[in-house]
Amino acid sequence: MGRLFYGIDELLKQPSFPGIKDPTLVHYHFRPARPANLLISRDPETGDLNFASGTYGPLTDRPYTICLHLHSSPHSARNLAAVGAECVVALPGKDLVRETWIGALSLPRGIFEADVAELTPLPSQVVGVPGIAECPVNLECRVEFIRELYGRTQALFLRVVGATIDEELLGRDRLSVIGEFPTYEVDDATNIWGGSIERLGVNGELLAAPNFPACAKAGFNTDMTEWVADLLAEDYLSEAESARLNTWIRDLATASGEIRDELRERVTHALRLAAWEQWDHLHAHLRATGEGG
Amino acid sequence: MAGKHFLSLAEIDSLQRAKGVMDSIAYSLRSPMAQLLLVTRDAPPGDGICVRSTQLCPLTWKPYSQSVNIPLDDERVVRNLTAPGAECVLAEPTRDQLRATTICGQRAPDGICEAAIARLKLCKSLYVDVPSIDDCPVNLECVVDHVERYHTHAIAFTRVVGASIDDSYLFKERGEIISIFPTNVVDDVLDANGNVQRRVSLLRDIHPCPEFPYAQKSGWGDDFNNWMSDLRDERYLSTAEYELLLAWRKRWDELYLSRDSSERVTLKTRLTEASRLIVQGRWARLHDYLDEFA
Repeated sequence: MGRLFYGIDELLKQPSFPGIKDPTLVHYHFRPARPANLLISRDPETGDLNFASGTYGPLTDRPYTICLHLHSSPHSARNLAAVGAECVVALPGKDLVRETWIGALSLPRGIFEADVAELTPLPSQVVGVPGIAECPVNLECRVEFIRELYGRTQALFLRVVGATIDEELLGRDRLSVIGEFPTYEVDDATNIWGGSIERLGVNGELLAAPNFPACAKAGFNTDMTEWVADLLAEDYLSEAESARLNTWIRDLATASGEIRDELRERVTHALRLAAWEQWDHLHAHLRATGEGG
Repeated sequence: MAGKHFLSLAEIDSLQRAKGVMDSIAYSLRSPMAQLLLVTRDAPPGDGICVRSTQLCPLTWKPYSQSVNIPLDDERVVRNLTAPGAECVLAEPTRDQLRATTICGQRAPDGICEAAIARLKLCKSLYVDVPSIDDCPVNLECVVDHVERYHTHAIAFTRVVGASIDDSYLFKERGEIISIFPTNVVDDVLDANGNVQRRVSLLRDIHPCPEFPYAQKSGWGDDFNNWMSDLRDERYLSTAEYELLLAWRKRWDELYLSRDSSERVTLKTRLTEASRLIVQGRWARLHDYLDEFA
C-alpha cells in the first residue's frame, strides 16, 4: 500500500489513473457525501417563491443552527442576502430523488420549481415561507450571519426557529429513519454528452462505536482526566494507579526537556492501554513505571 | 399526506438531555454528517500534535473548502486553528476505525497526541506542515482562512491545498467506497449502564437523478434556454415550440418586476405548466398545450 498525493489543481481537474474509465471516480474519492436539502425562499422584490436543491451542514446543537453554502448568482442567494431573511430547509427522502433534481434545474427566476415538481406547499408556523409537505422534516429558519467566500459563494448561518416532522417517524427506530431520509449528494456520473448525472445516496447501516471503558462515560468532547476518574470509579484503576497517572499528567504540564518526553511517553502508553482495554498491561505499566520513577 | 408534528423554538432548544444526549426527535431533525479527524499542530509554546473527531460542513468546490466546528471550550484546538497561518489536515476514518475515532473524540492533556493513544500512525503531509494520518484512506491538507465564533462553537473555514489517498482505494467503485468511509455521526444514546454511546452510519443505496431530456444535457447548472435548445436539437420540441418557449421566457424576464401585470401572471402559469410537462416527459400533452398558443 502507498499514498498518492495530489495538489489542489490536479484534484480539481479530476485526476485520472491508468485503468480507471470513469473520469470522476478518483475525484469524488476526495469529496465526502453531503446531506441534500431543499431550500424554499421568497424573492423580496416580487414575493415569488423559489425552490432549490443543495447541500448543508451542521453548526451548533443549542441553539440549533445550520450552514448553507450558496453560489452568489442563483435566486436563493439573492432572496437570502440579508440577515433576518426567512427560509425553510426541507430534508428530502429517497422517494424524492426526481423532485430533488428538479430543484437543481435552471428555471427562470420566479418560477416556483416546487410547482413544476408537483410538490405540495406546507404552511409554516413561524416564518413566512412554506415548507414541502412531502418532506419528512421541514426546518423553519432565519438568517443570522452571512459571510462571502472567495468572491462568488455565500456561507449562510441559519437559526432553526421552528420545525415540522412527520408524526409517523416519532416512534420509529433510528436505522429505519435514516434509511428514509435525508438523501446525500454522492457524486456525478458522466452521461453520453459529457454532462453530469447527479447521484444521491441514502444511509443503510448503523454502527455503535465503542464506549466506556474505552472512553469517558460521557462520551465525546470530554477531557481524558474525566475518563481516568471514571475508570477509578468503576474499579478499572486502583486508587494508587489513578493517583500515579494523574500525577504524571499534572507534572507533564510543567516539565521540560527529557523529563517531559519521558512523562509524555508514560502517559500516552497508559492511556493507550486503557483505550484498547489491555488492563493487565496497564496495571503492569503503572506498577513498573511507578516503582522505577 | 402524513400528519405533521410541529416544534416551536422553545421546544427545539429544550431537546438536550443529560450528558449531551438529545431526545430521539432532535436527532431526526438532523442529518447524519461525515465524521472526520481534524489534525492540528499545537500553537507555541505548545509542542505537540492534536487530533479531534469533528464533523464537516461543505462550503465550496472551487476553491475546495469546508468548515469544521469546534466547541469553544476545546481551547487547545481553538488556539491551534486561530494561530496566524494555521493549517490542518482533515482525515477520513473508515468503519474499522470507530475505536480510534472515539478515542480522538476526547481531549488528551496538552502535549499528548490523541493519535498515539488511538494507535493511528501519522505521516508527513506534502502541502502543509501538519501531519496526515496514514491509516485513513483520504487526507485533505488545508489552510485555515477564517475562524468565526458563533454561539457555542468556533467555525473554522478551511481550504484544501492538497490531498492524499491510500492507493488501494483508487479502483474501488463508489458503492463500495461509501460502505467503508466516511462514517456519518447519527446520534448519541445511553447504554444499559447509562454510558454515552455514539452511533454512526454508512451510506448504502445510490440513486441516479434523471438526465436529458428531463434536464440539460450538461447536467446541472446550465441555462434554461440551452436546455430548450437541447430539446429542439433532439426533436423533443419543434422549432416553433422552441421559439415560443424562448419568447415567453424573454417576455417573462422583461415583466419580472411588474408584480401587478396580468400578463406576468399568465406567463408564469404557462412557463410553469410547460416546464412541468417537460420534466415529466409528457410530450404529447406538451405539444397539445403549446399548440394552444401557436
